Amino acid sequence: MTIPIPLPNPWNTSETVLIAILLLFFAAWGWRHGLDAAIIAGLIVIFGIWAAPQLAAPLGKIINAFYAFFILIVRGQFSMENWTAAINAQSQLMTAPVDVQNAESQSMQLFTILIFAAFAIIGFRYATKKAGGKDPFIASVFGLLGAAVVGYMCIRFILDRIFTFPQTVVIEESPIPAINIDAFLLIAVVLVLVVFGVQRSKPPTKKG
Amino acid sequence: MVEIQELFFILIIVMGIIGMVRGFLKELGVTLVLIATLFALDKLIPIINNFINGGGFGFLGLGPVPQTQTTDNLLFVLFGAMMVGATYIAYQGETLAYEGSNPRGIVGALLGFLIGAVNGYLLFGTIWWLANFYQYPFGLVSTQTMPTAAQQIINSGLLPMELLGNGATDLTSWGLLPFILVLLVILKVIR
Repeated sequence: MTIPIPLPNPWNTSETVLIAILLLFFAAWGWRHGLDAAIIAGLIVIFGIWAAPQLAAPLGKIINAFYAFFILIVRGQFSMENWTAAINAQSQLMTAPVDVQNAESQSMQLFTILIFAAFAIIGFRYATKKAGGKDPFIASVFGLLGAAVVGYMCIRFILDRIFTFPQTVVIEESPIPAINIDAFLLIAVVLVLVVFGVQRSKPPTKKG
Repeated sequence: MVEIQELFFILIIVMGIIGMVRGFLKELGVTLVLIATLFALDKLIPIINNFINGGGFGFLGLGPVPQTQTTDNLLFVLFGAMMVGATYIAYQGETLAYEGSNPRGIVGALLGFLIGAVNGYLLFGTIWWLANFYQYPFGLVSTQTMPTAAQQIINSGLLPMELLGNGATDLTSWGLLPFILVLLVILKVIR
């Protein structure tokens, strides 16, 4: 049974077209800097995907602390109790800039994206600095592929927190739930690692 | 009694460790042979099954596949032996190994483990697929109590014949096997 769920979409362009256009920039970067740079950037981006939601609440509390400290002093309402409540976004006196109590809130989502963006920028800059030199053709081709995968991860992470695209839910009756694996992505990752390994290994010594 | 999916993962890990010891480049040579064999099986199995189902080899007393268990047993042994034979040749010989010296340190060890595990997946995943396709011949696996996890792996198409190929059912489409094969050959040739 297929149930289409129309959800508000502020964009006229489809998700696929948007992702495809954005991926071109990542692919161009990968082509220019090669597979080794794409792998370094990918590792940092994957770490960012894991770390950004974990860090959002503690870092949000730090921002709340500075903001609340200033506001409460200005208003003459400063006390440790009020300040702690404001840090934890539970104050009745003021609205905390980052709602650390609700991970789904707009401020937390925005803050998570900012932290992730910082990781991604550091990752790409570090990768360019460490491994951004000229590469052979095959390394450029796989750099393009690898960077496109990294780009896809970045775009998905951000888009999933900003928009909810129209989607279709397919409900299939089955006694055994299926395991969903993106086979193409999995194979692409393994192949990229194979090419990386071949590139890292020393070629045979020439005879004669 | 160990469940089939547990045995499958244990064997993959063992092959990963073997890969770590043998080295990345030697394991990649084995992957090339296994992918080629898998591609051959993906095309060969439907041809032979259709031939038998069409009355071919009737003089040997072979019945329709997969309804006739004796025929299933025979075909499982035949295709299983092809897969094991190809693996033996790949591990024994040096001809198809990628030349050069392995990446050093932890990167080399991890890559060796990864490709060893991939080889384990290709070999034992194909044998599991064959056993499932030919209705678990010789009563080696108790199909009465097939665990849910094993059913999930089979039904979700995670075994190599279906994940990489066409599940040996369709001769018209190619699957991903030829592309992987071409890439591995290119990588061997350009070095």
